[in-house]
Amino acid sequence: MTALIALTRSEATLLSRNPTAIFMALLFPAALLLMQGLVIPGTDALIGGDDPIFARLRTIDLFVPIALTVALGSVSLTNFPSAIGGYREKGVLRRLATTPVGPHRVLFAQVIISGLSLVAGAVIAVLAAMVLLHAQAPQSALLVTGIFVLAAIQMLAVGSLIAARASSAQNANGIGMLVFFASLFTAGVWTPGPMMPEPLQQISGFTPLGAASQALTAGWYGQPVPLVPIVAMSLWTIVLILLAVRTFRWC
Amino acid sequence: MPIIEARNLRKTFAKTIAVDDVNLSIEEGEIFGILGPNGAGKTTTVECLTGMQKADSGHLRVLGLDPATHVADLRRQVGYQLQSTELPDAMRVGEAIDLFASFYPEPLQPAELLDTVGLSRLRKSAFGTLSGGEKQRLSIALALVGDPRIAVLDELTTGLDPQGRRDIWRLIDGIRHRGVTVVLVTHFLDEAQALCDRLAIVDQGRTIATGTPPELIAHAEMSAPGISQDARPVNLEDAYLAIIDSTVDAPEWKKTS
Repeated sequence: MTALIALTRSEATLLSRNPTAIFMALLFPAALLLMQGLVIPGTDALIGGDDPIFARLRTIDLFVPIALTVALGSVSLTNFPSAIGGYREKGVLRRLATTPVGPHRVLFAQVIISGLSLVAGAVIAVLAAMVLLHAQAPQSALLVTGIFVLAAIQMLAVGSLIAARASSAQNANGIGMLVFFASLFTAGVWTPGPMMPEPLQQISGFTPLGAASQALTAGWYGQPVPLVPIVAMSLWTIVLILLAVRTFRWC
Repeated sequence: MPIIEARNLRKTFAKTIAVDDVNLSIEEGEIFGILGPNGAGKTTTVECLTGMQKADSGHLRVLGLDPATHVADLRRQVGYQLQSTELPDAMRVGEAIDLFASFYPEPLQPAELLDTVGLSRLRKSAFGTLSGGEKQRLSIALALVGDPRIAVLDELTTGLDPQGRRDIWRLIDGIRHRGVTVVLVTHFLDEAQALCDRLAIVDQGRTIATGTPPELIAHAEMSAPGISQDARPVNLEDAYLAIIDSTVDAPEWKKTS
């Protein structure tokens, strides 16, 4: 236990000295949201249309739950796997294997710090949206929190699978960025909510970050409890964790 | 009773035989060298001794325990300085030693240990800014911080300048006085001669000679009686080369010349 606390503190210290990782975790989600809200013209207009819920919303409102998915993806797919890839590259995992604590505790420590930093990034993004863009608070804070926690575990599981095999920090970062940008597309960063063509929405709803995005949007704006994306995320989580555990290279 | 004992140790990976037949008997408190060319099976041998690898066959005892089944006990009592491992560049010297101290039930005082290895002044320096010698000294300190009974040091002066090597040698000599048994893996003969009480020469996965440096020199003289007076082994390097050569079938041209 002492060792896990010491390792977690050490991971936090190392994160605080890594400006790129701090930016990706804490500022990137809010920055992307504010850019879409303040720079792109027309995002302040009502969406309109037939949907009883979406018709009352501005385009920018849809970006608030999407900003949460950006926070989920950037930490889980870039910071987390590249930290572990770097430890494998430098032999830190091997070195820890020779001590009584073993290498798995540094993974736990890294998951704890990643979890905390992605929550912080999400909170900053939501506060920025409410203060600067006058976005609505979620209809059901409890449901949104529950979905966010499940989505966070799921995305860290995606990151774990990258971390399981990556031979270096750079290698992990390359794969992570590729998955991250593909995920941002399915999450609707470029085509939020009803702006994504119907068939694409259907497919996206079964991808990890797409399911997270649709579930968070539904929870935020009081649509019925999004069961399909919740089940999809749960299945992804189980499958990805099993795969990561089976394929993880300790040295 | 020897503190480390290996009889007929064997370890293969897929189709390569890394360790064929290694026999070691190391007494408590000595500095024991495992010497041999690159790829001889030295690192695999110590990996089996520390439980990092599971031996295919042979009898192994470290502190009276079987490394294959008592890994957790051995982790606490054996400090292992691995060949070429690093720490995160942003981690500071003082943080690294405090972190590793937290892994052990009864660690040494981190500040005193840093003093011993001559790194007190660099407490606040990031690992990425250290020189090769400073990194190695930190690595040795991390292997010792758990107050181990055995310290395994693998290739610890590879890549260092002569001054850096001498500093490390002095440091290892100092460890002897703490009563720690040191297993030194090296391919440098001068290092083995300067530091080791006894050593084993490993070649192609087998221990081909064991003894004190003077014993090995005498052994080499006997195993190569035919050579002329001025080619007689006078130091460990000559002896080592003579011993290694005598185990390899001499090529045709060598016999006629």
